[in-house]
Amino acid sequence: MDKRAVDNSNIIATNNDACQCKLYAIERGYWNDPYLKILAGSIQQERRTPEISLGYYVRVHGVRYLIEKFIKLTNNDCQIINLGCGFDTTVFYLLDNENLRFKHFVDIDFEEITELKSNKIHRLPSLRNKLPMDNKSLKIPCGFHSSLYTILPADLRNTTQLDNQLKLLATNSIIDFTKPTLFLSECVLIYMSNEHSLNLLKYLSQTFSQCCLFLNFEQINMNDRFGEIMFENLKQRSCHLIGMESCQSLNSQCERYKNTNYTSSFCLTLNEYYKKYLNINEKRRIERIDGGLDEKELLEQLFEHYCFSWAYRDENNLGLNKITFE
Amino acid sequence: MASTVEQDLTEKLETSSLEAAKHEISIGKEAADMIKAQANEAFKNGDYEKATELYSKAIEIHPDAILYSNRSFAYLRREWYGYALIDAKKALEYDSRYIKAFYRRASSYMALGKYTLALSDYEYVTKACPNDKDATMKYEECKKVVTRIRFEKAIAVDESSKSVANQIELNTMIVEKEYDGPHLDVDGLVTKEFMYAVLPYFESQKKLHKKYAYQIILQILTLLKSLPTLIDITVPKKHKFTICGDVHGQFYDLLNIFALNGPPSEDNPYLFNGDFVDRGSFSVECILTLFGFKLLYPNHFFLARGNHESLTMNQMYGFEGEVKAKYTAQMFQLFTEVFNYLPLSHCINNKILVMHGGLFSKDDVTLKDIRAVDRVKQPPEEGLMSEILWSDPQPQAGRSESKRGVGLQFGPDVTERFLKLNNLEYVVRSHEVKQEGYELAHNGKCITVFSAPNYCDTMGNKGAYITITGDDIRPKFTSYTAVPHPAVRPMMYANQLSMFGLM
Repeated sequence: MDKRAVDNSNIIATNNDACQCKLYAIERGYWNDPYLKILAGSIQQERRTPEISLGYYVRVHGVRYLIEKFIKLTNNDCQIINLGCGFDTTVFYLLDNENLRFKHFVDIDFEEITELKSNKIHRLPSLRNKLPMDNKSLKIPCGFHSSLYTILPADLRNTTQLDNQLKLLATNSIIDFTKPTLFLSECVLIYMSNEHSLNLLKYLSQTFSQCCLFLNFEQINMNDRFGEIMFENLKQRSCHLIGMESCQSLNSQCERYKNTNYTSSFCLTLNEYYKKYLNINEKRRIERIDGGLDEKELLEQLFEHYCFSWAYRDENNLGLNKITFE
Repeated sequence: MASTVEQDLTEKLETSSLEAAKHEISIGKEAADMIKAQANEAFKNGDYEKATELYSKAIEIHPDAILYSNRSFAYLRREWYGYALIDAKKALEYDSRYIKAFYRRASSYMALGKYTLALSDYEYVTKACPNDKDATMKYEECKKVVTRIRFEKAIAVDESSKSVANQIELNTMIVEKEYDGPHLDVDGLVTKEFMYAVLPYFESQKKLHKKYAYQIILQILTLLKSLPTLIDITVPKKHKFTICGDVHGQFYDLLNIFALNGPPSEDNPYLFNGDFVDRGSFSVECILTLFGFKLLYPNHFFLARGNHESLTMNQMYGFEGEVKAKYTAQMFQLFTEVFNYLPLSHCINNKILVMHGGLFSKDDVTLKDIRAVDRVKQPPEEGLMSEILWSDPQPQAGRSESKRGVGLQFGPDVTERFLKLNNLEYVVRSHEVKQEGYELAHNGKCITVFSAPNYCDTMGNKGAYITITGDDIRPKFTSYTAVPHPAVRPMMYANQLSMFGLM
């Protein structure tokens, strides 16, 4: 058996976990998403504590908020590349919103995942009909292509492979390396070594050097008891948080952007986001869904260990510094 | 609406003259309208039987969407939901866009428990009338119900199934000779010696043999079944009585209470006011200890239900996981059954009322009402039982929506009126963690007692208990800090994905 395949399966399994938790939260009414169920199937019927649902809610909404800002700032003349996308449904969310048009959206993940995702989209009209098809029929093995949306298989630790795939799209005028591009990475970098993640960051900032924004959602402040416990828990599942080093502090998150040619970077914990930037009525609504919050402290502890961090290059002075929470 | 009538018309036109036909129709409609007016009047007066009769008459003469829809409404009022549904559907046959008919159909569906069908009707109405607040509200409510029910169905223990108790075969459980813990004899009678042996056994993290655990739980089931929902306690003059709040699986802190205040006995009675399990990872030891003492001193040891003595809470916050890990899934089912029988409230010397959560959304609640509550169920989302288990006091007068999403918040005036109506001195409740382990609110009339110190190993609070005597019911408070416990973290047995964080 291919050794790489064995190594990846545990990372690939995290997609399943994320989907289970998200589907539960959606079922409970934290937010709406008719597409995830179609892609990810049904969930194990097991009760989960509200802290996790709230965490996913914040993750989904925080990321979407910044995506929307990016699209508006670039006047819809932008590209979005979702790294380690799993069964994420952001593209469908954007397509459903007239104000959130974009030039192209690319989902990238291991071929095991992209194959599944592509097949589902091909087979199911409820998904396929959302995606306008152009005349260019580009055949992507284990992938998918349409006028606005492409699914590319790639191992993000292999920048040569990634480069080949992206160049394929560029030569076919599907993407443009000089166009403003937003990279999304949700709980992705921590599963690869620092060397790999730095390589990836550098490759992206060089290739899209004109105008790009890298948006990361990930663990942080991991050098405490909570971090230890999470690390151990996941290790028992053969899931190794080998990229932990960059997740030690706000500083370490930002350092790596500085070292890979991004001009500015920002970072804030979910706690900060939850306290400062979430609408109070929304907060009330979501806190009541699972029979009320039994104890706020546990939520705060979880939220102290996750962050949004982002960095950008803005050679054209579009004003990417304006992309922040308000 | 006119289209079907016109079809009738066309037929008539073929057989009779235009004039005659027109004449017939107008007479028919007028007559029907008159009867309809009478029917509407009857409806307004609440005479739904008469209203249906009259609508039926009118329908015979000149049926249309409005008449069917109105009759549907009258049937709804009479709770004849089947007929109401038929009429609503009929109305829509006559006019497929008649909004009121959608409403009626939705109401019928709701009453018949067909929530998903009701939902799509409400959805139609909200789309057709986006500004109609009532429609939007009904839609949202219905959506909530649909979501909840779908989910509850998926995870519910089938409550109509045979009691688990009957399926437990104690005879087949052999106690191995290697077992070095305390034993119960064949009739399972809990003795003082047994309790004094089981506490240190639990303390060294050993497991009571499952046969004895089952014996205890089964006996408790029988005992609790005999109890009323509100229990009257008489504390004689000069005699002591202790009230404790939430314990939440913190067994070592429970032992500490017994060390500070003396172990339970006929001279040292206790009341534990709910939330015995969940969060802390020694919930099994706590509940077996409390059940053991209840069996040993049935008239001097009291247990009230908390919101955590329920299925959904146990599934989320660790008790189910712990029971499954230490014993079996079947035992957890038995616990679920047993918790349903826990009394909801205690009244001490007719002066102090004790319950886990708090007071009510209405002013006229009496002790009689509490006694009459059918408690043998999972806590419902509303009503007296829900409020007893979930409410919280608030500083400002009046009532507000609970921040928890269940129950309500009640002010000092609510407490005052309740005490006056029921001739009581004060209320004791638990349910909320407090820094000193207790808190006086509402001019000392609403007291919170919480007995789990350093809650979840993170809160740093003290625990507390209240003592009174039969002749002096003014509360005395004792606060204490947490004692060390073995390295088993809180929520150790809760849903695993919770422990991996966000992925």
